[in-house]
Amino acid sequence: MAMIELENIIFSYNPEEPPVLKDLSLDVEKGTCQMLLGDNGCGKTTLFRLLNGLLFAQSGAYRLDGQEITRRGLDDNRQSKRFHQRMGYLFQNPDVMLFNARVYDEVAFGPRQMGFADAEIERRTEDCLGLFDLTELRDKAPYHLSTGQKKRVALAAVAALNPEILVLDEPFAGLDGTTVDRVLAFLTEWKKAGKTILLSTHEREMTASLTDRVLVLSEGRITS
Amino acid sequence: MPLKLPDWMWEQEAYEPVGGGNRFILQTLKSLGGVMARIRFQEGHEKKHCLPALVKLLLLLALLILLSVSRQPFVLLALTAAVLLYLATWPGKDIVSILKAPVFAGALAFILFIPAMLLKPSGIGNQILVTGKIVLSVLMVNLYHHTTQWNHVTQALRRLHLPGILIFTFDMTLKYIVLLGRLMEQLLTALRLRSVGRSDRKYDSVGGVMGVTFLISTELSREMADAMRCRGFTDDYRGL
Repeated sequence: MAMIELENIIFSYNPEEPPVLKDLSLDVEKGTCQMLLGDNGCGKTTLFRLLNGLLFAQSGAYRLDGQEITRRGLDDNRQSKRFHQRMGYLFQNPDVMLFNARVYDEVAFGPRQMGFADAEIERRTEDCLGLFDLTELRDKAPYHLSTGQKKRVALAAVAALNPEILVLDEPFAGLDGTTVDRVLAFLTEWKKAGKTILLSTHEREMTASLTDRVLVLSEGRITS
Repeated sequence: MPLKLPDWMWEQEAYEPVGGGNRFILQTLKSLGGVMARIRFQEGHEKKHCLPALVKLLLLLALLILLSVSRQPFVLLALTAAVLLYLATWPGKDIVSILKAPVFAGALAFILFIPAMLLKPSGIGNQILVTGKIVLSVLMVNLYHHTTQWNHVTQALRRLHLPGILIFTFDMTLKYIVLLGRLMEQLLTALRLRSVGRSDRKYDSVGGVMGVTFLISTELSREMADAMRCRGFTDDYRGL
């Protein structure tokens, strides 16, 4: 059984307009990396928001490990929190993800939420800062960092939650070569740890070695 | 560039969250969503074959003046009939949305008049007339707001030869309400996605969201001022 199953999803922002996602079906196996390609405005971010329970389809079914994800289900606070811990989401624009006063607090936010002891919070935060080469920036305000640094902080903050699935919306946009290499190295190891990755990108060649399947979103459907 | 994941990342998290704690974020998101939806509602409801914004604005001003100077109940009744007739052409959901503010304003005015009505019962007629005028005035303004896009309002104000800087301030304020509203919506969504437990520092995060919104708004305004200077802006603003 696939870990993520989307079945005949139809989604529209406005009932009077044609749907953004039309009869879309998709299966994602655990421990794989799926790359989503598509033109700008084809619905990649909409699909990712739907996978993260931020939007809900007008018809069709979305299942995670066989359990249907519905608006009513996510209204339950506990279920919603568990779902969001399992599914990490990196927004396309890192600016909208960073709201803490220091890089350290930004990364520690997730472990603190999960109620770990102080020593464990510190261990996880330091590990994530080290993974993304952010140790030097730990006391800086995230707002004043460059785009590439902000993206690394946002990714470290999501990784600190240790989710099973990472959904990454354009993770390489605006990054320099060294940062791209670091993020790719992280994702390669992440996949080796048996975690699932879904990412949208325009840099197809860059992620070829990481990807198990390329999905093309066109006219609201997955075409390959 | 080889990396080594820490041990805990190789394990599946056996995490059982506690309930509660996200009410504030969810309520704020809901309210913000409501404001954004109202703006979107206003954007999409300008009918193709309706009067130009300037004509509507002049008509609105004339009717408001007529309503406020008139002491005859007939004027109020005739205008109410006309406005309700026009309102009846709208879908039910929109009528409810348009009527909310006037009903609230009317109720508030009525409550404020209660002491006067009790102290001087002979003046009840006048107080009811004033309450009616308030309801109708707010209704007409609300109808104008619902049927006219902001950029067309700006254009109408310009044709009335209002100072450019006033129109510019009005236009920019509206644009930034939408822009910063969307930004805040996204920040709160990101906060919600990562709020997978309970924290004693939740107000720090909300303060952070406010702070980041303020910083981004400051930066955006500075960048926009620079961009306008580079494009030769000379205080003479022309709305779309």
